[in-house]
Amino acid sequence: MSSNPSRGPEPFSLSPLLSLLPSLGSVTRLELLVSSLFARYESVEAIQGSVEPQEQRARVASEAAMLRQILDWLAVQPKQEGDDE
Amino acid sequence: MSSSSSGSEFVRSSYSKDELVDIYALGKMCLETGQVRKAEVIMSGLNAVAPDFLPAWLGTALVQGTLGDMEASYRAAERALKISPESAEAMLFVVAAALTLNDTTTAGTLLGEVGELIQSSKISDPNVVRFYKMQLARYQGRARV
Repeated sequence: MSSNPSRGPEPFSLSPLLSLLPSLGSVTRLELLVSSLFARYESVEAIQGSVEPQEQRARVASEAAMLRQILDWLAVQPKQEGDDE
Repeated sequence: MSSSSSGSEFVRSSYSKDELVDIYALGKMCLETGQVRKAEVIMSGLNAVAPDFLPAWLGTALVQGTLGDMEASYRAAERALKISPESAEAMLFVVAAALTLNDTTTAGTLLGEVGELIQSSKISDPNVVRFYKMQLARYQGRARV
């Protein structure tokens, strides 16, 4: 075998299933979306408690958690409950 | 927006394709760096806001498999396959979960379909072909038992 040890193992050998995931999008572009993602997060947070039925509430909660995760990664602090306007 | 909104119109409100793929890229990056719980949150969110977005279902299948919930992994992979019945990647995710769950019938059927796609040169991605061969070997090992 002629593999170069300095290169490290190829991704397929580390996680074959991971190599099957499509390579799409760009995390760096997320920085351009901060404002819209933040606005979405605030909107979702605002309606979270009043959403019916249960299934729909779960979807809204999933969306809110996703947006919070993205904003955390972008180092944008979503406003906590009780913070001033 | 009214606070008494059912929320359905908001949840489904139009994330653009670009937004979806960029968010997905972050979820995939989390998986690549071993941050599986973070990946789970992102992929689940994408499943919620864009139920027909195939890559996020594959991501969810991988997340759940990594977390050891093979039933959930199987369900997510099946969902991906329902969205895109011709997707060899989706078929192989189902196969991987099915074999772990000892569902050799489903695995065998889908391996046959992927094999046909490879033979007819409809698939050329070497990773897909390699993964197919790995799963075929697993399947043959199970079938012999």
